Amino acid sequence: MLRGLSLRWRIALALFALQLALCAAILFFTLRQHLASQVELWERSDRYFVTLLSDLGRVALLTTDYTELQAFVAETTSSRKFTDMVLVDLAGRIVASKNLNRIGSTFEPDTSKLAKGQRIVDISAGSHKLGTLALTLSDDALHASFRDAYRRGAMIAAGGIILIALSAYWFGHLLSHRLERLAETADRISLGDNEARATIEGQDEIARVGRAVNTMLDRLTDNLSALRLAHDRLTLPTEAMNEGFAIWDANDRLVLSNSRFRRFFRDVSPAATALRFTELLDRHIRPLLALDDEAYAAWREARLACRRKGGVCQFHFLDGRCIEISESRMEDGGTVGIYTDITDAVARKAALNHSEARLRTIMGSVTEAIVTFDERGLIDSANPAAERLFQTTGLMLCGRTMAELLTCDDEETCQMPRLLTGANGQSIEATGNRPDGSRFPLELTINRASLEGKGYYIAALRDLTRQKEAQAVILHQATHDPLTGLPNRTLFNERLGEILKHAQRCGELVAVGFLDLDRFKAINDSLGHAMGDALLVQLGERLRQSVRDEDTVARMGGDEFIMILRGLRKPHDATIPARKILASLQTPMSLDGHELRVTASLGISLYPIDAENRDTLLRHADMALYWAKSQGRNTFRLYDAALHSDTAERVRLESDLRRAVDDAELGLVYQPQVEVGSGRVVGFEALMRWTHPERGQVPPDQFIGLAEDCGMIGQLGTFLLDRTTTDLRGWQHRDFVPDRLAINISPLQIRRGDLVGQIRRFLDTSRLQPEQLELELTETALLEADRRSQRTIHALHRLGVSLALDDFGTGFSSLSNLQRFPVQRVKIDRSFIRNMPNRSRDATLAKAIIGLAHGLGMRVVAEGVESTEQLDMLHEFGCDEWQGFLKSRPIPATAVPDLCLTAA
Amino acid sequence: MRSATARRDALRLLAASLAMGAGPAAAFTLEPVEPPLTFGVFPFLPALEIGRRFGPVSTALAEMLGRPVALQTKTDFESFHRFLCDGRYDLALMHPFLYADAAAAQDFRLLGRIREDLAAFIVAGKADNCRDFKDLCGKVLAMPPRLAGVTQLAMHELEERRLLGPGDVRVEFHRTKSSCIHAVVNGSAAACVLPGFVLNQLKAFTSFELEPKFHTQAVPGILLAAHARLGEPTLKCLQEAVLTLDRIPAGHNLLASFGWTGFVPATPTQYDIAHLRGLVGG
Repeated sequence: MLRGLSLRWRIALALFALQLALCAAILFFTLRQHLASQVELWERSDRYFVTLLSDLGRVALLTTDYTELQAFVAETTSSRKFTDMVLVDLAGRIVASKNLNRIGSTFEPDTSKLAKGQRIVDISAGSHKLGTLALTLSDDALHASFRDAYRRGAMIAAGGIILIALSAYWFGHLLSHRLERLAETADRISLGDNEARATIEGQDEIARVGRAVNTMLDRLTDNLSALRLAHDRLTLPTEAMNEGFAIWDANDRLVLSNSRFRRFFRDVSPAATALRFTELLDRHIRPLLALDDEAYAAWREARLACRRKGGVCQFHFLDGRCIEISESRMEDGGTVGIYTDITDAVARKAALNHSEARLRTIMGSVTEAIVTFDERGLIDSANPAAERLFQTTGLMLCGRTMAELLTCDDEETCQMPRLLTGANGQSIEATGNRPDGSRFPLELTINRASLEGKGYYIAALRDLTRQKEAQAVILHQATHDPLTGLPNRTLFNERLGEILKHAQRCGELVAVGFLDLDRFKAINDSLGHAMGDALLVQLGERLRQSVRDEDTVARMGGDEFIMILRGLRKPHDATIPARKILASLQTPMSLDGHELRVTASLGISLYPIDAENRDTLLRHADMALYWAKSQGRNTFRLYDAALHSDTAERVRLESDLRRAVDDAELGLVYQPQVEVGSGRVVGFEALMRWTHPERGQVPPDQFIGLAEDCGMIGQLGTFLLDRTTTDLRGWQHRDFVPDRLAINISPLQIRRGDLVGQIRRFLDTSRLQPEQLELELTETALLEADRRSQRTIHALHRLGVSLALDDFGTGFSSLSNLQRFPVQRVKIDRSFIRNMPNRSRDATLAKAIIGLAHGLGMRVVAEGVESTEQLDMLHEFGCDEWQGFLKSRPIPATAVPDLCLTAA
Repeated sequence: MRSATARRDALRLLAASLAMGAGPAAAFTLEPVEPPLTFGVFPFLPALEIGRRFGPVSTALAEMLGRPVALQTKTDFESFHRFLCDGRYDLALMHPFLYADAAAAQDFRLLGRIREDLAAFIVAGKADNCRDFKDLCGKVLAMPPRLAGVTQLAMHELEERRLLGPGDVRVEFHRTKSSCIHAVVNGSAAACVLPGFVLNQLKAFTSFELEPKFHTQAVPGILLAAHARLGEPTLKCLQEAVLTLDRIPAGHNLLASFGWTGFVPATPTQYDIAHLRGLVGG
């Protein structure tokens, strides 16, 4: 039956049968495997499910937290996996269940009556039982899955049969219809139709056969045309050539030549096609050479050897021409020769060599580094200075790019387009890269030149290493304190400005702190400037360690330091470093073997709370420092607007005091000192008074303390001595000279300046005898006396001036001080005298002081005597002298002589 | 063939379900059960780990008391603290600071304490130069939860030394000790706070060598306490069992797993909160 069918149908039927059998087999085995996998997965899922519920139950029973388990059960309620579940605790109580109503009731599992799918699982921790899990599993879902698989298999089988039938028919058609077309073309060619061609599409074997037939027919036609054109194509182009052209056969006979070849060798005839090469040399070329026979023979031999090798050689003719011959061998043993007149090129090359040699000499003698490069940045020459600059050879530089040699801060600057744009003589700064990896700063100037129509660039490079080093040193010196290495005022102001700008943008809190060493001047004066400097260096280091890296510590000069604390979250944060700084100073400074304890005061203001600009912020920090110092030093204070007025008041008073000295607002009054037994005035104590134009009398304890704080005490001391001198002269004009004149000396005057010289000059000017002058010192002055102060006190004593200890009894009342210093007189403080009649304790103390002083050979003066009862008691105790309102209030200088005359 | 089997299985299941009525609950019968003694263990390990380690001891206690023992814990310190202070545990293992609160809220009796004192160890990379809390200023210190014993020890010391301000030590709390260690290993913390019995876990980090750098002051260690409602005979029996715990295999294994040598008698004054703070510098 199949024999009657066409090829198309036979192929279609065979394919249909084969594919159908294959698909049926695949479907059968796939379905069987799928069902087996489903069963295995289902059983494994059962085991995992029970394990999962057991673990959840274990955690729930351990933590008595059943929320997670109950949530899991609620989530899986819709699942057909299990139909019921209860979790029972150790007391037999249901603590979790799919049915919430059963929670709290009591159950005991009956394992003997378990139905299919039911599981009873003990929940335990190690060997310890925690409770029981009971659940019922269902496999309904598995059976539903089976049914679904069979239904899908049937649908796939039906669809597959339809697809297989269609594909079998289409394949049969695909194979057979082009074979029919090829058979038709073969028939037409056999009938003599040379133009017939098979039109068969595709890439398969049938299409290849069709195309091969067509190609064979095409080539036969083309070969005939090609033969005709070959000769024309060979001869015409050679005539158009600028060079001479010739072809020699294997026997070295000329086969073909163009007219230029014939002109090079003048009398070669166009018809001389059989000319041998040796004949060309002997007959045509030899006359053009000025060679004798021997030389010509050698030349000829060399020329023939060159020809055998097929190389390039040159002929220099008598008429000055130079011909370059380039010959190469052909496969058939013949030779093709190109003959070029290079007379001009040779002349140009010689001139160029000369020019290059001269240029190299110039470049080599230039001290500046010069490299040349093209538009791609490729370096093609470098002079010796450039080799020295990059510490390499010119050969190593050539072929590298400028981008390899240079690095710029702004990466784009060193890219070729930018470099070429700036090639107008402008200088830029960049970093040079040496082959060993080292870098150095350089200045680069690029100029553009044009050579043979191409852009050409010349770069002059200058090493800036020394210049940069010098600049860095200058910059560091300009912005840092040479002693401590900390930023100086300039750098501080710059940084503060930047930080405040940043803080304004980001809403940050910034603190500025002024720090000042307490009594640094005294340390400096007593230990010397070298030790003072060493102290500042150590202080700077401690400050740096007490703040964070992002904070700034600067030295403003002297013992003044200032800090910027940035990134604070709240005002209180500023106190943390302040406390750290003060705590760090509790450790003594070790200076050249000495241990020195110092304290500091710190004032802090906050941006933007206390001020929003730099100057106000600094001023407020300074005020806070001022306040910290006035609060007893060794502390810190935050700026407080409420304190501003107090501080401002103090600042105003300080300013007024400075003016008071010049405006004669200060004056002296004198308090008489009286001998107890005789009632005779034996001396006067000079007391300073300040009459303020607006405030009236300013109490001495107020302005003397202020003068000490603001460094004016020396000025006041000088004023006191000058005015006393004037008063003494006035008294001398009235023939009065006091037996003794007492003046008060501040501890600071002893520590600082030339007190001994001042007193010596005072004595000279006032014409007062040394023993008539008494200097009153406080206990504090003796207690704080360092070596220098001690020397000053002893020098004053040697001068003949007597020393009195003022306000004795109010301080430490150190007996050792009385013994250590040459004190002649002790002044009992008025606080003891005031209450003496009423308080026996004060009287006892006064009596004891008098006895003690007398025991040490000193005289005693009682201060502040205001009543006869007080005077009587002092008389009884053996006191030597007294002063107070009982005798007289302090009186002006003009009244002093009168008082003495009246008393006499 | 499989389908036929499945169908048969389904029919059998249906018949069994019909026979059983309402499912597994119907298979259980009601019977009164003696209420178990609740044994709470503070959540210093994951709940399952606590179950695994303390299960055998709970079984031994149950056999000793002739009464079931329900081992319980919590997943966080806050819940455990609440249950403890509410008196939900008859017997509880806890750290000293939990006991201070529990004793204030309930009538708990001390049965014994671990012989080893409790100290917070500060652990960092072997190459790190960290010898004191001051060396951690500006860095992150990872800690277990706030109510963990070592956390409270470390926090007390940091507060006393005023090292919790800005720019000082930055503290981050983690849910577990393991996450504290991981924070150091992955570089998100410079160091972490751990109790002594966890230090042997550090060897597990072979690629990043960790070691304890220093530790806080030590306080009396972890303790076992029982509620007074159990009655004196039970309390006495429990105390005896606790103090001899290392003599029974389950107890010995438990103690050895933490590197503890046993329980010793303890007094309430040792765990007075003022006394504890005094020990850590408060």
